[in-house]
Amino acid sequence: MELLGNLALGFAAATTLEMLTVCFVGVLLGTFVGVLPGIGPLAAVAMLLPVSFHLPAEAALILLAGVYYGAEYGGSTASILLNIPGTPSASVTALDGFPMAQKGRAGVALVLTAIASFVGGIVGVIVMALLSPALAGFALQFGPAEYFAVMVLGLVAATVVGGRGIVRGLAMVCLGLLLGTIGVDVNSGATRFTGGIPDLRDGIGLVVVAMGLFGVSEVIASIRGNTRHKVSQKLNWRSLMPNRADWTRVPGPALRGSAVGSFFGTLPGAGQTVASFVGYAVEKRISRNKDQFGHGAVEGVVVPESANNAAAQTAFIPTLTLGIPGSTTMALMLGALMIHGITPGPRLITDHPSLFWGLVASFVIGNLMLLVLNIPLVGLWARILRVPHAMLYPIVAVLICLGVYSLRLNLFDVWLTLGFGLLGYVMRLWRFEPAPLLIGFVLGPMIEEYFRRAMLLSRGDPLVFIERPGSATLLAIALMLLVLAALQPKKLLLRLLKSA
Amino acid sequence: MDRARLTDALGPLALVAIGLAFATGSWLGLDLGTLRRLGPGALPLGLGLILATLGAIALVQGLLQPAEQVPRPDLHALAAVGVAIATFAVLTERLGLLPAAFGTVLAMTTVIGDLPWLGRLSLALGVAIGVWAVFLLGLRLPIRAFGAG
Repeated sequence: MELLGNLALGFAAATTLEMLTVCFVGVLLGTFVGVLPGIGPLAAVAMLLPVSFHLPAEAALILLAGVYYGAEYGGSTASILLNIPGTPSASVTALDGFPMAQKGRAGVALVLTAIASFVGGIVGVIVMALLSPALAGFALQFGPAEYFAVMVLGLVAATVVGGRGIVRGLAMVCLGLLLGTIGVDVNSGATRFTGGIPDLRDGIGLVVVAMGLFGVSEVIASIRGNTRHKVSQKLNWRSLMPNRADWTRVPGPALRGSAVGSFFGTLPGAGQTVASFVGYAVEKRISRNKDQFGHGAVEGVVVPESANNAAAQTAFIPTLTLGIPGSTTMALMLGALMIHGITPGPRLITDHPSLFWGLVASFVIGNLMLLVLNIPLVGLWARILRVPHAMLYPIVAVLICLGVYSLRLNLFDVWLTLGFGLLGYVMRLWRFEPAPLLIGFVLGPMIEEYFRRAMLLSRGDPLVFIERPGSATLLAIALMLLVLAALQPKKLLLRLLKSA
Repeated sequence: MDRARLTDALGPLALVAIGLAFATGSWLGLDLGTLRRLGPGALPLGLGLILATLGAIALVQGLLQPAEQVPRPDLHALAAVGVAIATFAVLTERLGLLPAAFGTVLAMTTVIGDLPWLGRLSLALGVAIGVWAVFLLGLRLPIRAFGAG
């Protein structure tokens, strides 16, 4: 079978010592930043981007991906122990995880979330391995008009991620696209909007924008939330073991959560948070233990964790096969690929099979590593929550500066990062989301290229985008997403959650 | 119009201004090309106009809804991060990477003021040693440890 051959290739690529090391470092760092509230996977991936440029493309992607899904494992720890979600998607886990901790069952909750995360992760990987080649094969028929439409769909999805209203989200996308035009235009050689500054001729670096918007502004926003957390519970082996009644309540919810998560992960813009919310709502509706939800129900931690980990894996499907990032972190992955000279799109799987299947294999390996890392070391992760912020943020600041500087050994980039940090902070104050801006920035150059090429092929007829069935369908979906977003999905979700 | 509403309107207004600036820049300074062969100025012109329109819509939306208070900026935190990054940029150029790493941590912790002096100095020293071990020794980044460039 072709799939088995591909998987064999992937495992061969992912089990070299270098790849295993990179994968381990990735998931370890991911768990670490996931556990710490304040530094999310996004900031961590942004900070690791410069390091990843010194690695081969395969290793770079495995590292960044490891941080990303490792953080989903770690995110639940702070949710359960402190009722503070380490990652946004873990906020659902707090609904039942924290009550469990209050009843002295924190250890059990942590072990069950690790297992649920593992189930979700593996189901997500299987869906990814089965679905990606088919989707890529379909997308191979795309022309420039369809590519343009796919990118528009991705951008619209990005505005839905924001959740601050479509107008504000779309405005941020436009701003990102415009910032992406700064520098020399590859088609004409004309210099655009550099203001005569030679350092801007090559454009603004992705790392500069990402570090500034997400690293620097994150530090500014959270530096003073300097509370030392108290974790009172002792975690030893006996307190960790779920009892028999707990075990019987794991398999069904874990699989249902994985299914919901796998589905929502593939939708650009929905992502892990929506996946865990919907998974929780569905489970609450069909569960026999309905009244226990919110008071420490086992299902209440199993479902959201399996859902968000499944979604974390399937989010790679549209990113790697179509080149549309479903989330900001995925946009950074795309950026990392492009900097390594690899164009994400339907050809990726056939042109770079060892990259794609190696990544798939590394997900399986990484999830196994995470299972081992998380269960015996639960106590250690819980202790990390006591690291005072006063020590953490100066280290982060140095890492940001060094990461940006190391790319081109150009101090202008460091100053520019500070500028983007201030921009990001000001945007926060005025309730503008930085995520759509970054996605627009990443997709900008490609979208312009495809748009200009499509216009050239159609001899200057803009109707080409709605005359070709492929691009018309995609644009219609984008329009539908916009309408749906206008109906405020977050409110709908909350209502669903309450009514359940 | 009260003060909160006015402050809140500054965000969308800035977007309108940025959009118009990009559009004007493309119109005046770049080749727009033809519909068939779009020039380097075509897309920024369109996007700038769209951004300005969206900013205007956001402005109207803001006026129709109850005013939302824009939170006061945390100037202390801003200063800490600004000083830290500026220290890094200035010292890397003048003294080299390790003094810069040391100085960045020292400057930032001093502005925040949560750690005692001994804590600040030892954290700064620890970070400098860590940077040396991981980035210069381990990853072999071609950056001077000490000395002006």
